[in-house]
Amino acid sequence: MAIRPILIHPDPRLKKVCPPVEAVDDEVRRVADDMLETMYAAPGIGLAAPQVGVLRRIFVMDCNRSDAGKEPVICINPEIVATGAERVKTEEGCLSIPEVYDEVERFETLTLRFLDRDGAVVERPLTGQWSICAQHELDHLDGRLFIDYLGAVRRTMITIRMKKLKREKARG
Amino acid sequence: MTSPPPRPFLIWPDPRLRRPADPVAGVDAEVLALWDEMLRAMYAMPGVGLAAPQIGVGLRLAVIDCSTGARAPVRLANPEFVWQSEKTETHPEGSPNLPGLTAPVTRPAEIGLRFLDESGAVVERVFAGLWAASAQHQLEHLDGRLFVERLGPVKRRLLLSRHAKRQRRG
Repeated sequence: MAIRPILIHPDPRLKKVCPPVEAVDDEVRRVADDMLETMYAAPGIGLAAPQVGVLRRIFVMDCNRSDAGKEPVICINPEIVATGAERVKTEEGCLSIPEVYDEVERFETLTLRFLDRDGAVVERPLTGQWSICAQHELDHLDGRLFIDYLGAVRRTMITIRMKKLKREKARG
Repeated sequence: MTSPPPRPFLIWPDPRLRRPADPVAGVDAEVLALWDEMLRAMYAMPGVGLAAPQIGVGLRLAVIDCSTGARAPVRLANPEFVWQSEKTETHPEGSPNLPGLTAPVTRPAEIGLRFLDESGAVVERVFAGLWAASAQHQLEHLDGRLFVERLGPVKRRLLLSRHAKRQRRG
């Protein structure tokens, strides 16, 4: 396993709709394992493949905060098959938009269908932080960031801040 | 997605800012998670140091990063002075607990600290320049003191009344 660099917004690869994974093979497993390692190191609770420059429908998450590293979930070709009626507003942050947090409204519960690490079809009900995280990561696979839900002024301010951060990082 | 945002900074005169913090028993998963949260809060400011009481956690934990290039965070648990230089230096200081207000503070230019690092080992390390100023500023927070207490009475009153006025205005 290896830690891969995380792309920082703005980056064209973060705006792409990713095509599905055709077969869950060793290469896909390697990407997913690297993503988990990268996510834990960041540290984060979710990471989508385009954030490490891989334009495929894969994300990983672990929202178990009390026991970090104990509940990794790999979701390949994920789709929402059902949602509850309730929506909740929480502050979100993104590893591709460091140190920015803002409120986003999401479904509180949903059922996610995806292929696991072995390529088996899984249907899993998710609630609370797990549900919010899955929606956040699924958005990445469609080229959407959480700041796209914010007002244009706030979004522009954040983008300027990230451009500055990237310049500083490039300078080292 | 990142973990939920760090706890907000307490605003002076929150009584939790005046309470001496308790030592930690050791460096465990909870302490590591708190340091991460503190670093995220510090970089978001952006700032060069943060002590746990500033986000309402009454433990002797602090983080410092005064690097100008790549990040170089230092995590401290149960820090204590082993040495302070006679030579002094003056740096402008501020605190997210007194948003937007800064004042020059004179302190020993170099210090030696003993603390537990992220591996739980006892280390001794010398800090100089801005690193020393930030470390001393954080250690004061752990004893329930803010940098304004280092200012003369006139300057302190002026700063705190300006803060009070800003808070009333919201």
